Amino acid sequence: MNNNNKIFQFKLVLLGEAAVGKSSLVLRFVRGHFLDYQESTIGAAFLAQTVCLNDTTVKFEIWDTAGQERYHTLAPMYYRGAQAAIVVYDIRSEDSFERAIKWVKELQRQGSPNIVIALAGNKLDLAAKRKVETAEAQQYAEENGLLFMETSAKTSQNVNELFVEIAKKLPKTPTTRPGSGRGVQINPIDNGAPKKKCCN
Amino acid sequence: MEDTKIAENKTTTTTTTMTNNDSNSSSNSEIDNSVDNLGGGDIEDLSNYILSKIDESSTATGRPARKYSEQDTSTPEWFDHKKHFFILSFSGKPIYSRYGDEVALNTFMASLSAMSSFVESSNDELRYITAGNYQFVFIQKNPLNLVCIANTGEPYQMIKQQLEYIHALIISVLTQSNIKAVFEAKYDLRDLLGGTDKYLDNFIHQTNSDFSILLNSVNCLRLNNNIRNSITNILSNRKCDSLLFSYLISGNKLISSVKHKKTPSLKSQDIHIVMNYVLSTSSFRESESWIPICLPNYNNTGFLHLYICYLYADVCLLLFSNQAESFYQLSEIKTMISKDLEQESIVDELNRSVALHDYTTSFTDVPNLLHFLYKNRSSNYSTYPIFSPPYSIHKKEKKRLFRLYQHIINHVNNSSNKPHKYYYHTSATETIIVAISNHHELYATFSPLETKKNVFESFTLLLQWITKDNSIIIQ
Repeated sequence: MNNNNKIFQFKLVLLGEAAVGKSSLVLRFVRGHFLDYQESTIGAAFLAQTVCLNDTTVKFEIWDTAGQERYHTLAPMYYRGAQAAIVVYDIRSEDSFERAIKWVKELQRQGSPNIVIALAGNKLDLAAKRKVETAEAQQYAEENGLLFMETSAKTSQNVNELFVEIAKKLPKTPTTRPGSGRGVQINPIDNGAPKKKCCN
Repeated sequence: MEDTKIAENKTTTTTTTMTNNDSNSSSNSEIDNSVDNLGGGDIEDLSNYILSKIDESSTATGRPARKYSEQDTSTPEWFDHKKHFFILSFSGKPIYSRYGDEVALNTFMASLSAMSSFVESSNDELRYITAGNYQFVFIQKNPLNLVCIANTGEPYQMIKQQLEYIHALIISVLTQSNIKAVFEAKYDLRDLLGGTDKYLDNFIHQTNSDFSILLNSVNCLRLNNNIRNSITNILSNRKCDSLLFSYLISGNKLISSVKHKKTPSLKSQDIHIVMNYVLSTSSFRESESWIPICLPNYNNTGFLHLYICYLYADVCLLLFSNQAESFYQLSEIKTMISKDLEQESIVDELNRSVALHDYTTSFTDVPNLLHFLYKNRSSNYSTYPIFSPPYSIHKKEKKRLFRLYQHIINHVNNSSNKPHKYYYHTSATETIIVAISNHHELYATFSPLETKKNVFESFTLLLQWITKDNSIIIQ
């Protein structure tokens, strides 16, 4: 059985320090626009977007989390059961890169066992003020088995590419991972089946 | 600030010097990450976690600079602002200033702290100081001091109420228990309030211009009663175990609300806090949002979880849950509510009402009426027209009427006797007549040249119109 007409749904979470551009990346990817002054996210925002690969369609359910420290305790709620994560830092800030490394460690320790993690060095349009070298981040990503890209939500450079790479890397087999709940294969032909209601 | 008097106090001391004390010594040292393991991400662990985790202060790059952020006590313009708000710790550590950078105002805030601790040292509480045209209003909310300095001539009680709203907003971000825990551990609260300035700035503006806050009430969207009932039915039918309240709002106007559990209703202040978040965050329009929020009048020690989603351009659904994990359930409820509204063909009517909400006094057909405020005292819902001439012409006139209402509301409700049942005010600029009953408060404004007879007649007509028109306020 090939994967034609198959839609795979995956939960993806964005993590990273405040003001590195998580929301900007998501809005560039989902809505195709960019705001010079994107306001701070409070709590978390939930958006969906699909990526079409050659023979399959991947639907991302995206959790864009707030970077402020006070929301850190809530993060596990969002990365639990996530099949993919994008950890974002600002290439102009060493601190944000170190914070990103901490997020990667937390994900490796407590995230789903096969989680696909991508490291994104954002604000590539401001490379003149770069503090984190590409090679350094690249090497860290390779050592830890992460996807790595430098992105610019402003110019949209590498934004779609990043999500497509993640989509490619995600396993396209019907997932039976216990507890994941989401991230399941949906057959569009079955859409007529009554959906189970959560209440009433 | 010579010759200041400490009023409403057993103490009548005259403070002439305000030296910079050395209270700004709370340590802000680096804390190691001893607790890196998070059990289930339970929000109740927040305080412990916060204390072990405050090490990175966010680099707020890419955000626009705050207006007036370059001002401080060395810039004359800073003193030109009519109304300052400050939040500081009991020890005088700056947390927030409406104008200027709070760190640059370190010395000034330490002086404010010295004033209130001077009075506190004699087991008393500093409420306000009058110095010339300026009023310094203090409220102490352990471990926070909130101070307003204003030359706006507002009554003390009104400024105090505004400070309490501001305090409630701070609680909504962190909970009272967490704020205390942060201070007991001598950490800098500002690290945890990152990104909150905007909400404080906007809320201060709201408390200074919003009639529904002035009346401690919630403004209702003008909507056909049958449509409103249908919406209420839809909201109450779509529920799940964790859902406590469903609210449908348009801007800062309430369309309908439902309480699903046997639990206290939400107080106006809490609703205004939520509305302020919604109004101040344009990105809520882009996605479904899920935020932890503490509603201080509901429970100031814990968080509720709030699902926020715009159904239409200016119609926003708010679902309050007591479970952090209920997002997907609530998202499904949103989908069902959305479908229900479409099926019952309510959408067009609702959106039309949103666009046509604003009404002027001429809509009431009451002769000579310039403006009015109405509050239902049992439901705490309110309604009022938009400004029409002469008030709509100048911003100054609007403000003046707002300030006049503040004085009258204060007279009527905060007088040393029982609240007045009727109140009649005439000045060179307007006549305002007030009626207070157990059921309602009505403040109606007329020209000062109007005869008493005409005023009374119109007032009676207005009251009849409000009771008869069932679209203007939630019944």
